[in-house]
Amino acid sequence: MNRNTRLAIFAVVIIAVVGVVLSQLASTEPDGLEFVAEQEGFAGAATDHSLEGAPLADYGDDGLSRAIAGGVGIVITLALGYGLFKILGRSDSDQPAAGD
Amino acid sequence: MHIPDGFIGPGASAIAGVGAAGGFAVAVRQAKTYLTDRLVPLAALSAAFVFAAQMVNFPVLPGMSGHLIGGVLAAVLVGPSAGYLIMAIVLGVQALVFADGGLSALGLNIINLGGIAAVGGYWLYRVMLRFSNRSPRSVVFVSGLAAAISVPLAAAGFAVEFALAGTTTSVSLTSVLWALIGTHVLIGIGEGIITAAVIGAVVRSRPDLVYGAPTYTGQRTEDLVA
Repeated sequence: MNRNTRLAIFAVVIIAVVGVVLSQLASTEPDGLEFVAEQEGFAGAATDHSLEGAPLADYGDDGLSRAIAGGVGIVITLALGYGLFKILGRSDSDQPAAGD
Repeated sequence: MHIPDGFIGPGASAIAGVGAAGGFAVAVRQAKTYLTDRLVPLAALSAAFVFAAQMVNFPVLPGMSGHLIGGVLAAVLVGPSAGYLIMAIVLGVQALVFADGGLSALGLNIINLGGIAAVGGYWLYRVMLRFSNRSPRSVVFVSGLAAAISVPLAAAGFAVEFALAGTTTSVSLTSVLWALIGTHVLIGIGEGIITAAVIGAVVRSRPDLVYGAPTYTGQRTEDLVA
């Protein structure tokens, strides 16, 4: 296994630990915008999300569904990112010698 | 920092949607000019990291949390246009799969976190890097600093949108603006620390791949320090 493959696998492991394990410890307090909206009196203007009933809405409501949500989201963003950037990127052989 | 449906009126939200889509088209065209196959894995990993890290709210004040935006992080790693696209991907997945961030507010959220935090934050990074010695250590420090500043900047973006097209008119706009900036300056400290840590790790292992670092060996759409 070459060094780049090892680095990529290492990165995926770190990302999975963040999204699946560390996300379990996330604070459930309101974030900055929600906090200010409550303090300043416009929190009530927020309407329910149209997809509130989706299976993984709000990343699930218990530890297991949160872990699944993290895993699913990582796979989707990795796939969409890889797909989009693969389409946009030129193959390395098409470009002149790298340099700045 | 994800705007829900209902805070900003439908007309302005729709205009922001068109603006964000236009930004996406520009970013695609720009990204094509420098993206090559060897940058694709880092770009895809950046998108997944931003998604994962945004799930981890950290405590900031009693009763308030914050989470990474990741705009400057992505933009320094793979360039501002790819950074914008990464934020659009993450925000789109969050809104469509996880009901996080309003569907009607998706354009607003892409403008604030992709346009202001990622692209705006990257330009701030570039300007500040000129005043440093451009060593790897400076790249890490300046990216953390730019990331920290990008958080209140994005929050100020929301304050402006709220002032122009907010659905609640009975509130003090100056009070909202200063409350948003004050809280997000604190959240920005976390943003800066996480960004510096990740940029530091990538610069150490693959300095040639970090778009915003002088050690980058690929093409850029602009000179880093010109």
